[in-house]
Amino acid sequence: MKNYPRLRCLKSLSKMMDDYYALRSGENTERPVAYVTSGAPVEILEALGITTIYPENYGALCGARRASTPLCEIAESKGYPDDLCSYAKGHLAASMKPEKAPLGGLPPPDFLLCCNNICQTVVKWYQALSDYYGCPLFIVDVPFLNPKEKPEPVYLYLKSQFEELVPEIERIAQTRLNREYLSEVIYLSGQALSLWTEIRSMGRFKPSPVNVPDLFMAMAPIVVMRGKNQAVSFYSEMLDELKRRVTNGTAAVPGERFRLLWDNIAIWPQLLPLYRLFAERDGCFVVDTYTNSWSMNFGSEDDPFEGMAKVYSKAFINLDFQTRLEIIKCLARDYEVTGVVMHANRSCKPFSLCQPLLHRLLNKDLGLPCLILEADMSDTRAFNVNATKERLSAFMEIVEIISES
Amino acid sequence: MVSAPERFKRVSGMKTEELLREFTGRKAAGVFSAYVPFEIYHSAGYHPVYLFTWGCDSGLAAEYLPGFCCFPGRNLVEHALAGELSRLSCIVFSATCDTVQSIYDILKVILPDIPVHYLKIPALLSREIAMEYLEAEIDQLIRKSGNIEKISLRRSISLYNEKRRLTARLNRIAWEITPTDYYAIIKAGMILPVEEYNLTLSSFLREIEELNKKVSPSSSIRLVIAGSHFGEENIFRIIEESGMLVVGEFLDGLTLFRRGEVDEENEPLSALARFIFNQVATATKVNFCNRREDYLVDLVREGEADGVILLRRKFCDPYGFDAVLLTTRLEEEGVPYLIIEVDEPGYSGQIKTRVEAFLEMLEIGR
Repeated sequence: MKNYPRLRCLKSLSKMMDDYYALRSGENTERPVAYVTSGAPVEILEALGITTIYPENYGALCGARRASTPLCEIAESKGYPDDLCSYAKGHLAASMKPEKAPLGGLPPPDFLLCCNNICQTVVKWYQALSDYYGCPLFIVDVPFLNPKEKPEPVYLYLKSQFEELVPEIERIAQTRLNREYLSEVIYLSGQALSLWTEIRSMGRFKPSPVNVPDLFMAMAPIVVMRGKNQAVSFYSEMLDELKRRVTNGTAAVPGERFRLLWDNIAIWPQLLPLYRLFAERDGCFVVDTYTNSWSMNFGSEDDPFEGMAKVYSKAFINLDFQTRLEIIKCLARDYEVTGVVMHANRSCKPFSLCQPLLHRLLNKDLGLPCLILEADMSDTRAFNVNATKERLSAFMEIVEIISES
Repeated sequence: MVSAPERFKRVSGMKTEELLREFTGRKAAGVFSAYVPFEIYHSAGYHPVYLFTWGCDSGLAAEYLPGFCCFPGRNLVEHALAGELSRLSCIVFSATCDTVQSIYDILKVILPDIPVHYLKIPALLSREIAMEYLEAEIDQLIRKSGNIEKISLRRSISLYNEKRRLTARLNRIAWEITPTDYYAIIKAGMILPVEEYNLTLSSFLREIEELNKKVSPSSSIRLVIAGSHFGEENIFRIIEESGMLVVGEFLDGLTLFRRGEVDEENEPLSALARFIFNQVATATKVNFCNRREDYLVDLVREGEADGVILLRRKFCDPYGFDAVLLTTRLEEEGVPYLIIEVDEPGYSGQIKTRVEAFLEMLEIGR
């Protein structure tokens, strides 16, 4: 088996995330606590001293520990259908039966902040949580965006929602929002986003110093620690390490021959075993679409809410298909990609439903071979190891033939 | 001359392509999801037609969609690929779920010659800033659909309000007609030109209401049918064959024809937005002031229903969550219910057996 050089910074990340969850368990948890979706404008909460918890990150954690499927089964026994989002089911089950969940579940929330710029399912998920915990639910509604149409009404709508949200959170936090401090938080958030963008761009180098599973493991702080110093210092450390790899000519996948693009969320229970199968065939995932969602820039707006409105409405998955297609084509060209692997993620319809069309168009316009793997981000029942291995072998042969020709 | 139920049944049994051939006089706007105000397209000179599912999977959509897309989405893409939507002058979606958003994206690519519109409906339908945003969105939709004079929009609003009043009358006497007739009448209302529908339904209701005075209430088991996507005729047929009555519906797609009217005195744009906000939201939206489970329980009480049949569409996230929300409340209220998971349409012996078992349970409960 090929040696896969692990990034050293991931060790400090592991410690950082342990500390993060330790501060969010039982009596250690500082209140008020909010459950927050991954694309929510968390800077407002951060500036008001709210302890934030991200059920999606917890879903990924359950998936990586292969704990998601038994939790999904608990939710299904309570009436949730088997084809619903596994993050939602897993987390609802962890709320109902914390004793059966990793980390003993999550501390109960005082309120919920749901932003639908990543999918509409989160709205229903958070509504179910609000009913279960009997706590307030705040919804930041981000309409689907086609940047070619005038986006200003969407920005304005979002800005108004932020203005309306602040007094509600102030009431719960029992403090007033300090706008200067909010600007500092946004500055930190922006720094982390910029560093993350630069880290992702390192995949352009040949050989690439970074493989997408590294990004999947390293993305936790950009999701759960935006606006905090820890995120900035971790990503500075990670960027330095990648730069050293470039200087030393260290490849993330030694002997890299094929440069691949990954589309969709990771298959968490299979994270390393799956990517190892590609690495063994000299395939390195130099870029992906999922972690691209946090490659954003707050810009230099005088009004912090205006900058946030622009950033949070442009989440990758909130964009229309044509815009996403253009982004993916640009990524494929910039990173000199030779093949595309799409995870048809049963739990994520906005990412997955257009993939067969994406497959056709990438094939037609760029001549790129594409593979669609049907699975689930955390529920192991949807993944067939042997069938995947066979399809993967056939795909890599095609990639090789096309690359050589 | 054909009777009203025959006319409704004939129309409700037609596939979209046949319908469009029958109504060649006007350009047609195909509407796929709830919340699209038919009035806008009517006043712009279109014949708005709801795009119901038709037939079963032929496999054509499999090249464009993964297997875990719901049947209405797959079905629409199939019809688009088969060229069966080519007579439409435009297709209109409203923001409801992730699948609708993706199908909108896909149709824009596979039907490049047909304009595809998308009305962004706010996710939370109980706050003023969302209504202001919706007004702006409706304004955009009006501009896309053509030059509409306010007077023409008012006339269309008035016609559709008449349809709403007639539908309310129909719902009050739903139990006096067979479930399949009820289904056909409701479905035809989303397909027929509103002028013809109002006329036909009005005379039909007069006949029934006159007849009503002479008949005593039936002792049959009474049901409310709720859940995802209106379009499952077979369920209504099975209910009818089992000897039960449908006394009310709470199905997706019919949202804008269920409750109240658009204010004709008000400025049309804000009246339409306000009307949408006053509706009981579909499962894809949240309305803290107007909760779905309350509406369902009211429907059960008003219709003196013995139970609820809840249709849950396979691969439908919003209604998957909603089913738990609704059944939790039904359990609290002691209302018996049966959940039926639906995917492709088709007469299923298994569903019939389950419905009959439910009937027996309800009879014992009486």
